[in-house]
Formats: sequence, structure tokens, C-alpha cells
Amino acid sequence: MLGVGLLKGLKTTLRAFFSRPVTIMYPYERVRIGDRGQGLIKLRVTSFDPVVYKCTGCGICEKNCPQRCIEVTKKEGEKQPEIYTVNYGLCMFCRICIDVCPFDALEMTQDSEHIGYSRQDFIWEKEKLAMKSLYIVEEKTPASRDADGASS
Amino acid sequence: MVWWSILLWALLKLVIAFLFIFITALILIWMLRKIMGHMQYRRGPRHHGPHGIWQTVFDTIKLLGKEDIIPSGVDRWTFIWAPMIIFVPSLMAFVFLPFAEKIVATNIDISLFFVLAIMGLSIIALLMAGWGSNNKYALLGGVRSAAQMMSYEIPMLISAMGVVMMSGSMNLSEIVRAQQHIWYIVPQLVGFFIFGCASLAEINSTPFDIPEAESEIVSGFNVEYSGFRFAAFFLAEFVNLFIVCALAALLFLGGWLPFTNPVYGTIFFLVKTYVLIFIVMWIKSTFPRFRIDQFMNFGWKVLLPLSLANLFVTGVIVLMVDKFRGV
Repeated sequence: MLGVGLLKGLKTTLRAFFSRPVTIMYPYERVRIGDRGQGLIKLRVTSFDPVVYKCTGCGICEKNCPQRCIEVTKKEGEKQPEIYTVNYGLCMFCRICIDVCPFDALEMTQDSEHIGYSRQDFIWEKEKLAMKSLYIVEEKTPASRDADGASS
Repeated sequence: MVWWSILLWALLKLVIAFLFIFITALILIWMLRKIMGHMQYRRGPRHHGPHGIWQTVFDTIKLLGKEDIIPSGVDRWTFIWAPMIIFVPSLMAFVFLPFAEKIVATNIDISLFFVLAIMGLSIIALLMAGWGSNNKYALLGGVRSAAQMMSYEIPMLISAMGVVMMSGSMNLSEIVRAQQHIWYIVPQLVGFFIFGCASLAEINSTPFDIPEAESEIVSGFNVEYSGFRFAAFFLAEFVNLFIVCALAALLFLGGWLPFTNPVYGTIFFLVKTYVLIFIVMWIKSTFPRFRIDQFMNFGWKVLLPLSLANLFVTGVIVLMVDKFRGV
């Protein structure tokens, strides 16, 4: 009948008007990235005080890195890395370093934000690499999301 | 009264009208962004103030603070005056809108006629803007808006005439008072529909936003404008939206009735107006734009005959009722 389509359209928008928006308020609220999302890498640590890395400084990751963005040195006789830097300006997040590590010392996080004011900011030292993931995405419970939606 | 008190009184009225227009436009812009956002599963402005209510205020301040650009090659006189002229009809129409019993700036006997006549004046400003911009898109937009307003003003006027015939007056306050027993939306449903369609076209709202048509002629008559001149066009558009909805509320929804108290009356009148504005925004965020030929066909081949038929039937019924009453 004439005009039914118009009413259908109006109904659709009205339903949208009364339902929860799909917008995620990005800087305040983060999208959960899938478990297989590839982000920055993290050095695993066995104890914090004193800091003991799981890494032995063998340098296999350095040899296998296709972008040559990892640099590892160790002191003779010690089983800890002396220098471990990753240049994220070069890194392509291919995950090969994690796959090849025989000691399971590297881990992938889902952090995807890395910004800096100079190129130097993209070169991360071992201390920074071992830091806790900055952006841990909390899985929002439906109740908390509803409360948030109501306040919008 | 001495001359200076008359002048002062007039100035005060003008200032109040300006403030009212400005605040209304800001509220309406915010409302549109919010409603449109939620109708598209978005959230609209959120950051400044509760629910982003200050967003439009800041936007206006930003626009007012921008550089005043007058492109080379424009017809300076028309270009500069068009944004000022577009405000005049909107401001003048407010003078005749009764907000409640006796709350009206100027009460004249033909206020409905006057409001509708004055709203037609805004064509001139749009044409001036289109012509003065020295831009093909702007000219197309101006000419389109002239064509649109002229062809849709006729059904709008004729549908309003149905109401005038029923109430026997052209005074907006009298028309509202005549709706004491029944709001005219019931006997004049067809008239309300025609008035609604035509006034959507009158204020360049979707689905009749052919003069602006962002996807075809970028933004029509206001392409070359920026800063406060653009703000004038933008605000005038929303003020016209308010006027048209207020007019529809007065003609068909009984204005301030059933309250005769000035305070409740004003509130009730504004509530009715804002409900109508919500419906316009709802339509705006739902429908796509007409093609220009479909649009002209709709105006001349559907709305105009329909409004004439409505006028005829209303006339016959009014005559018959008068006959029965023995007037």
C-alpha cells in the first residue's frame, strides 16, 4: 500500500533511537582485541625484586628477526640479557621472535598503540619491554555497559 | 506614550526576540545532532556539559571567531547582505506568533497571512546568496530553492486556508480560541498532512533538501560562506524550523489550549512545538532526498490538487453547517 514503506523506515529509525548506541568511546573505553591480535611484545620476568628475566640472552630472536629490529647482548657467563632493545619503528609484529624463542621468554600483548615524538621513543629498552601491559582491556559486564549506555 | 518610550519598548522587544531566536536555534541544533545520532546508533555530542549540551554554543563561538572570508569575484553587495537579510523574515515572523493567551508581541487581524507572506521573503536572501557567490553550485542551489519555495508555498497557503475557513479568522490567537472544542487536526487531517509536507519543503528539510543537496551541489547557496555569515544561514534554517512547527501547532494542534493561563499555556505550546520538531528531525534522519523531477511532480500533481480538494470540501461542509445552524 502507498506509504507503508515510509512508515517502515520511520519504525526502523525509532527503534534505533530507543536502543543502545554502538559507539565505543574510544580513548575512555577500549575495544577488546581478539586473542590472536598481534601487538607489542613483552619480556617475561620470573621475579621482580631483583628483576630476573626469563630471557637468557641467547640472541636467537635477534638472528631470526626479519626486520632486524631486536638487539640482544649478554655478558660472558651470565644467563641474563645485558641489552635487549626492540625498535618498534621497524617492527612489523610478525611474531617470529616469540615462535622461535626456546625459553618461552617473550609474550605477545594486544597493545597496539605506540606513539612518540621522536624516533628514539620507538626504541624500547628491556625494562620498558618487561612492564605490565599498559592497556589491559577489561571485559565489560553487561550490567556495567548498560549503566554506561544510560549515562550517555 | 512619548516617542522615546515607544522606541525603548520596541528595542526591548527586539532584544528579547533576538535572544529567544538565538537560544532556540542553539537548542535545536543540539537536539538535531543528538536525535540524529541516536537514530543512527551513535551518541551525538557528549563531551561539553551533560550530554554535550554546550557543544553548539562552542561551535557558534568558533564560527563567530573565524576569519571573515569574502572570495574574490563575488558580487560584494549581495554577498554581504544575503546572510543579514535571511534573518529578517525569521525575526519578523516571531512578532506575530502568540505563545499563549495575550502573550504575543503584536496582535494584528491578519497575522497568519502576514507570517506566511513574510516567510516567503527568505527566498530573496537565498537567491542573493546564490547569485552573489559567483559559484555554479551556489547559483544552482539558489535557483532550486526559489523554485521549491514558490511551488510549495501554494499548497501550504491553501491548506492553511482550510483552517481559516473553519475558524473564520486570520488572527492566530482567534484561530487557537476557535479550537476550544476540537483541535483542527481532526477535521483537517488532510490539511495537516499537506501543511506538513509543504512546510518541510519550505524549510529545506529532508526529504526536500534539494537546494542544499550535499551529494550533488555540495551545499547549495552557502558554499562560499564561512565564519559568522555561514552561522547566520545555519541559525536561520533552524529558526525557520521552529517557526513552521509553531505555526503547525497553532493552526492544527490548538496552540496553548487547553490552558488559558499564560505560564502553562506557553509551556504547553512549546511542548507541542517541540514534539512537532522531533517529528521533523525523525523524518530528517530517516528519508533520503527526492529527485528534483519527482519533487516537482509531487508538489504540483499531488499536493496542489489535494489541497484544492481539501479547500473545496471544507468550504462545502462549513457552508452546510452554517445553513443548519441558521446563520
